[in-house]
Amino acid sequence: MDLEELQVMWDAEHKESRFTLDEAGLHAIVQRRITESHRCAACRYRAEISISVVFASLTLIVASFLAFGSREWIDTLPWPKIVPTRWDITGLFIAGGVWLYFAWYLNRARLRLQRSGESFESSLHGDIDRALAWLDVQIKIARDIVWCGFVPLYAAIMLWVHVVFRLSTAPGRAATLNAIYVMAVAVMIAAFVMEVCCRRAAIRERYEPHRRELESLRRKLADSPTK
Amino acid sequence: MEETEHRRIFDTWMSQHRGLLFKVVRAYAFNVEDRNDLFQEIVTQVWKSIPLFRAESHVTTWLYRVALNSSLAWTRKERKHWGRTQAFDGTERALSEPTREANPRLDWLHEEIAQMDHIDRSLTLLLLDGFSYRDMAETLGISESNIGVKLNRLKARLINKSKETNHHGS
Repeated sequence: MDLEELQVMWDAEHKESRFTLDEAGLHAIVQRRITESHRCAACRYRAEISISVVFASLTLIVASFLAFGSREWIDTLPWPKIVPTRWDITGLFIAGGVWLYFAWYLNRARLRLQRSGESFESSLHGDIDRALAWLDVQIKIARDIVWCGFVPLYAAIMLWVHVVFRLSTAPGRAATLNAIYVMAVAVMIAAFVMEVCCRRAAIRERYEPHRRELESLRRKLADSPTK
Repeated sequence: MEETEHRRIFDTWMSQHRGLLFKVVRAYAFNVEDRNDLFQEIVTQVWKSIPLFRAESHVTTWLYRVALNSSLAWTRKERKHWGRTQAFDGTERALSEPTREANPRLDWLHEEIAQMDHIDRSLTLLLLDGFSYRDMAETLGISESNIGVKLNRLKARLINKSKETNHHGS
């Protein structure tokens, strides 16, 4: 077969289509997929940012009540069990502040990811470059988030747990609460280690192989007709 | 752009150029579910691309570009789903494939295309559809001279394979 024959055969397929299209349902399918894609892209970051903002706000509100509320009114509440010191209140303010910082950090990462694919031409070359730029940002975020995000975040959670347990310990129940506190700290350390391992595994098993694959495609597409 | 105008353009493109999309779907997806999923992905991207179309290129070139780029992204996504539950809800199908007489020569051609990597596959589709070097260069984002070199290799490969198949088949 020569090329003309191949083309004739190909055109025959075009004339006598192999598929039948459900035109009536097509608009509904397109709209559903567009809605889904918008929801999926935003939902992970949005959930993490919202949780951080809610925890930060609650912690800062409680810290403000403890710092500026009337002593008589606080004494009537079931919590705290002991009179908070200024270190307890400072600890809560710091924990709330770090949570807000973490929400800001995630939002910045989300915007960087969004912007990473903006300035590429609309072609296969541009699409590969866009995917590579997006992957580079993903890899950078996955690396940076350990020290710039998780370490402060988990330190803040430890601080928060420490202050809350201290303020919840009524005289005579210290032993039980201390045991729970030790368990909570152990769980948090395990969660931190898991987060770090997951990010490293994502870089090693998902992003880097994908990056290599895209780079080999880009190399193949590279403009070197003389080779 | 108004919704009705957007919809009108989409419907026109779908009725006039659906064959082009079917060919890309067949080159990239190899079972009914995957073909439906990829087709839905491509038409979704076509819908999104309508406001970006500036009529600087032909509609067919534009649609090929959108379809090939969607297929590249879809292939990556599809690989992520391997070994998991099916990503596509088979109850909602946009395409159906009526049974028809097999065409061994055409099936051979599709098999050859399926074995190629993304770049060769894209080029082969554009070549078989008779696109100009300029349109191919625009779609892939590389120079026309580079297209020429790659196409010569591809043509030689396809013709050799077809001779081998004929030789062994006869």
